[in-house]
Amino acid sequence: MTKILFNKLGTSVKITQSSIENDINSFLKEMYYNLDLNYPKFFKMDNLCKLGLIGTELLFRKNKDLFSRKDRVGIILQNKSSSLDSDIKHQEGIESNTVSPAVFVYTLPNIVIGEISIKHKWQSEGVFFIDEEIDYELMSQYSNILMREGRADLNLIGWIDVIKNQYSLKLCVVNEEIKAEELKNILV
Amino acid sequence: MFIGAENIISPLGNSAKETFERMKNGESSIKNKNGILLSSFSSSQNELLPLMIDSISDSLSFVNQTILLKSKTLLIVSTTKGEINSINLDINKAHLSCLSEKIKKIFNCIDKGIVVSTACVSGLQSLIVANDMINHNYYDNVIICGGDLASQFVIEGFTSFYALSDAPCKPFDKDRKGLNIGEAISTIIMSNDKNLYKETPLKFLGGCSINDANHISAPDREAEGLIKSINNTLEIGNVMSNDIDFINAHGTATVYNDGMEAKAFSKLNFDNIPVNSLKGYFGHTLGAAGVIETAISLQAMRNNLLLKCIGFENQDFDSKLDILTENRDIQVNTILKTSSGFGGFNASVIIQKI
Repeated sequence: MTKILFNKLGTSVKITQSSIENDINSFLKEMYYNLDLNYPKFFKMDNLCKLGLIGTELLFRKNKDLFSRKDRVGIILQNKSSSLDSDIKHQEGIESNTVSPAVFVYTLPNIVIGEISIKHKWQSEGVFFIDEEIDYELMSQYSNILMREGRADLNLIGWIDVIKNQYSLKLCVVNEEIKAEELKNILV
Repeated sequence: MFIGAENIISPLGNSAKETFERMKNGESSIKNKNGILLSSFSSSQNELLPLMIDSISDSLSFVNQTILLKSKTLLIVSTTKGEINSINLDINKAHLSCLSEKIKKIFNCIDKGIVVSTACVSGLQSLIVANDMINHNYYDNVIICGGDLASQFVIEGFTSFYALSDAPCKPFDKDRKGLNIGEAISTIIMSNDKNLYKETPLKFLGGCSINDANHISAPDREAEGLIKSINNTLEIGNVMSNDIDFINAHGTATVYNDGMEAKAFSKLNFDNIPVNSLKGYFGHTLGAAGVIETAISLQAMRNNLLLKCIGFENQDFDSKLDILTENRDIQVNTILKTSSGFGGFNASVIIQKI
């Protein structure tokens, strides 16, 4: 089963699996219809992008006021597996002589930032970091930098990782400077 | 913010100086390898980590160790695919953060290592993150190491996109028909302390990376993202466009990328500023591109010599850009460097002489 949890203020969302037997494809499809996304492009995306779009949509709907007043939404994401989920599919394509550009284009982790930006028409700053686990210090530092310099009005910050049927997402929206500890509390 | 201590390990040489010297003589490392045009190392050099370690070691030889060890230093690894060659043999090794972790353990001057991976803008984006981290006093120095290999993984992928040219690439040329993949490693060190450098550094005035929210693999025909990025960078760096002496563009030599860049430069009235792309020398080096091309541009500034845009012969339709057809000796004080990539990312930075 998959759990979707918001914090009290609704500024953070967490998607976790309680068992890894859970099939990511059926979860993402179910979420698409539950949210009534009506965005056919969704079905062309790889699972990392689909998960990113779902997570952003959940946050966006809870924080409509916050988002509607701001046009520069910085996106700062991180994960462990980069785009390995799509990399494995592309590698299988190489071995079976069935390489597809529709798979290859997703073999980069930052494509999820592109897909989120396209969906919401955000022409803003974005960066993708890779690490073993979420680096609250780095994420808060970079969010604060964009805020202080006025390069973003609000930031979408979080962790989004997919590899085969294992997936997790922790995403929050902040509109002021934040300490690493605070970010950790929000994203828990 | 200071920038310097550049190293390049490429098929053209094992230092920034050597690579620049050979480029100055018009040498290109793009060769036919089993029917595909590539700029590649010898086949024994098929691991990124040892090359990154060599590259960082060389860069560190250009800085004062005492100052470095007394201050706080961040490592940023810039890569798109890391050790992707090991995807079948050892998937753990293919995790990008293995690189930053292993490098950190080797160099005791590094306090923390991170990885930036944003497609072909990874390199420039890493320089931008480095500048931001130092400006906001989180670190005193940042070692930026960019690298990618010309793996079968990326060659097959770009082939499926019909993005590869079967001849040496022709950036900005009207008959351009695609890119050549290249492999290279490059390291640059940024610092808040001028005395860190043994050779006079340059100043990094600022930069930013903007998403064009247009398409994940096709450049925005109106070049909105790149224009926005350049305008923001000029503002951040407090530089007027007529202060810019030279633009080192991305110039992959694909029809759409170069068309988009030419559109951006012409909309910004950059028609009189000399432009080049370095892809004709060592191909498109992916996650290394922003770092290696900045390193060569630092050499161009140090030598007051702009390199010709190898492969360029004839202007595209209505373009009036000053694309370098010969090396040009001029006083180079301020430069603009740009990169664009998959995911709709557009990065730009400005560098100036002290």
